[in-house]
Amino acid sequence: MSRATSGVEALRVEDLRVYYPLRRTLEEVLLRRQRYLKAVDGVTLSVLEGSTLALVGESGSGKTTVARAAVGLVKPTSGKVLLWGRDVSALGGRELREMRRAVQMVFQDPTVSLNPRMRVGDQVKYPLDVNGIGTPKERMAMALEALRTVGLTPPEEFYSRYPHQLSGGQRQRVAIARAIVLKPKLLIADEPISNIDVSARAQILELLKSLREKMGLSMLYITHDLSSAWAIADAVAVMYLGKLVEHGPVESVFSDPRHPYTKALLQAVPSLDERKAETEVVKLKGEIPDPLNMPSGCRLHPRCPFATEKCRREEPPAVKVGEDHWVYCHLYA
Amino acid sequence: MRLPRGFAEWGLVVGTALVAVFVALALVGESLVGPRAVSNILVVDGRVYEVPPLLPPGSSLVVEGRELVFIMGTDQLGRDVFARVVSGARFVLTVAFFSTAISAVIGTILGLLSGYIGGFLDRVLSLVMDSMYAFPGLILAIAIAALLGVGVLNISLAIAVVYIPSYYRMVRGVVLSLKAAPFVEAAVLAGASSWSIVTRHILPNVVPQIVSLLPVSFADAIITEAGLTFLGLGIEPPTPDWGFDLNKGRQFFLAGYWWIGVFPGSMIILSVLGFLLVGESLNELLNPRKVEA
Amino acid sequence: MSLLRVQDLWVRYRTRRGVVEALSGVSLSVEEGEVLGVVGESGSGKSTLGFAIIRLLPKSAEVKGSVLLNGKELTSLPEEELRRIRGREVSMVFQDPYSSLNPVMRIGDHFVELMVEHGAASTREEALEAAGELLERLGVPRERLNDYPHQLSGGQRQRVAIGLALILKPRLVIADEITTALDALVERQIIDLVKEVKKEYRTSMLFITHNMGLVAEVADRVAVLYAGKLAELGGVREVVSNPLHPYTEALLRSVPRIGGSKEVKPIPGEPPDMRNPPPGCRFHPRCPFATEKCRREEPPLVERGGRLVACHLRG
Repeated sequence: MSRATSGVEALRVEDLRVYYPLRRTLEEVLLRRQRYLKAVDGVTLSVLEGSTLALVGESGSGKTTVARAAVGLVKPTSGKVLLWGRDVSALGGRELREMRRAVQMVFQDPTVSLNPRMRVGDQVKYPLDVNGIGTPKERMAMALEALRTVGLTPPEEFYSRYPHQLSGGQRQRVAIARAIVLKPKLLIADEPISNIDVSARAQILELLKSLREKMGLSMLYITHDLSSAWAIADAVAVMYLGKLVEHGPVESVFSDPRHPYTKALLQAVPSLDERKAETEVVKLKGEIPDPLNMPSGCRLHPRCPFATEKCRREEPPAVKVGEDHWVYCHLYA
Repeated sequence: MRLPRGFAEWGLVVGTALVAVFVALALVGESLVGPRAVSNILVVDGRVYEVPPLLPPGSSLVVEGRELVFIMGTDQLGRDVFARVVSGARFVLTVAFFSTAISAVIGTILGLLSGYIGGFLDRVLSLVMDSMYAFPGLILAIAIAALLGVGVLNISLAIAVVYIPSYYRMVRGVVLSLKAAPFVEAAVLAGASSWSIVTRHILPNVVPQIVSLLPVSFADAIITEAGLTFLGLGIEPPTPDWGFDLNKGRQFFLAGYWWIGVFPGSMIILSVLGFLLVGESLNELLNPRKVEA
Repeated sequence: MSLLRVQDLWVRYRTRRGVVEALSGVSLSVEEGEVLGVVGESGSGKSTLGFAIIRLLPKSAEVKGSVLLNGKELTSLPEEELRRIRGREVSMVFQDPYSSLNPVMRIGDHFVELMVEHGAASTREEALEAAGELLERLGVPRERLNDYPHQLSGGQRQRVAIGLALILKPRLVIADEITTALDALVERQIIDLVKEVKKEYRTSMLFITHNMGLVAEVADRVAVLYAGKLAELGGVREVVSNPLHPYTEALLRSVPRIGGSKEVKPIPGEPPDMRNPPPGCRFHPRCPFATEKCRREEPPLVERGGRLVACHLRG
């Protein structure tokens, strides 16, 4: 079941690269060499208007960096970030501020994404203050409405509380209220449920889904938890060490994964049902390597049970394996 | 209201009591004991009377039928030591107050600018502040006081300079960590200006730290002030001052006239103790360390 | 006789803001060679249970009740004997693979210290030999014995922690959220390792987690804790396929299964404030089936079809 979409790309990231220069040793300075931490190394993906793309990966995959680049907190080393077709880096001043209102972010840890010394209601009202929207009375009303929308009722009571007086789940609701108060069109959610208690996770997931319906939001949903990606996303993109390995509709990728990494990730999810004999158990050797020592060719090759010489030498091309379903792997080329 | 429980709560109670006493002395002391502190010449019922010097504590004189008690004795010039001690509070605390205020304000502003703007400004300021911080405080204060001369403002400035780096470092540290905090990033995403971020997000989170540093820094200022006046800097006799009197008392101590120096010295100790207790207890209560109870 | 028998365990903490009752009369048992999963969210008391058994609670904690390990009462054991038991008869693996190892001691020395202290090895070489063998079995090359903790990856550190917990061949291992801090694929490696260890060593385990899926893979029986009380206890397959307690049911439904429905059914409300838990059944404010009786009376733990459940409706 695909969400109705106009086909317009709300967000498009084109050959995005984010390299962080590393501190050089004396030798490197003399030899004029510079090493980089390649957090994101050539990623192209898009979020269609009205739909949700889940960006999935483990530590060091670069998924959070992509999210931060999309929202403007990180400057790309090269590549483009396009919002509704407009190149964000070309915008400045007033245009940039207007664009800012259309794209908002929900951060991972609500304990640090809220100002500990500001009332919760004032924090929700703050974006309105900053943008001079309406009269102070109207702003207060809008903030209360936002609190009500995220389920913090009665909103008047929650308005004057401080973050430390709320539970983790409630804090995240406040963060979400703050993100939607400007009525954005694109929401970037960076692991919104990882730092929350188990029973609150479902509540937040449910809230995001209902908000999406109500507000017609497009969403980029970052997570390492495949189950929540399944529940909320229309499309999914899997990243490993700064590169895409597979992407496509979530039903397609999760029921018919092609890339060895995707298969391993899906098999890693603890299963409530008794495991049937897997047709093909994919076990990756070792652990994620140090991103400072990036493997050559296909990043997964040192760990992949199907790796060949070609995998070590060449980076894999994009191969279409289904409707909108692409994989980056020599096995399918 | 319940009884204080534990070291921190008792510390706060005792410290506040001490501080209150000294603040009261500073505010009203001089009007209570006035002229007896600066001169040994008293006018009682129209008759001029000269108080003898070096009277031991507890001495009393009968003048025109009235009994004058000198509970702390008199100093080498016949001045009432108790009066001097009480009046001295005004000078000492005023200087401590001004210097703390100046260093807190300047240190905070510089720390905010340095931390938030970063770059070249930050590097230069940090270098300057670190050098000042590394320099022995009293010596720096002496140098500046010698340059500026006497007077409340001058001595306050001399002391203020010494403590600016402490506030600078603390504020800069907090600002640096806050700059990276997600709630500041969220404010940036909302489109907030730097001014808004600094005033509504950063400053409110810096203030508690400043507040916890103030009492300790105040105590430091008292000691530094006492040190300066002990050496004869920054003050003009016959202004009553504990440090100055301590020095004078030192000279007479060996001759057996202990009260001239011991009482002012005790005032220094008690006032510093009071402020330190308040500062440390507040810190303990507001930022409790997780201890195995 | 059960290997571990916890009876009517109460644990209270004194905090600045009041007294928190982390566990309120929990009873359960672990048999020889079995893995008992303990599932709950934060505030359920599951970690407190683990710490209470091995007596690693802070001194401000008040403990009442009985913990019998092989018939020996642990709650009243003098400190000296307790030290002998820890590591040798019962050991623990913690959540954070970074902090359970001493950063200035080589891996090998961790084992040497432990084994020599408990008299399991008389020389350094003996200890290192045994440690090396165990580590190889756990998937860590024995050369790592010479490394410092920071030189190992997160997964390797956790394997080492498991090794330290197993080296003295204890009867019971307490695993407290041992995979929560690990990446997905490493978590899978560790879980598979736990399953192998279970098969090969037949060590009993108390497997504490918030993840029902993990329990379903690793445990034989499962105890579901809510707000310091036992809600349900039974065979893992039965509980997972046919939960009795409304909380267990809600918990299972709140986690989306890949390939299944995308609908998420959250548990309404918030976990209770443990300084002031709700009267009667502690789950009643969030339970769709709550009755007046649930608000007034605490449900007793009764047996129902080979399981224990504490619910007025289902019990």
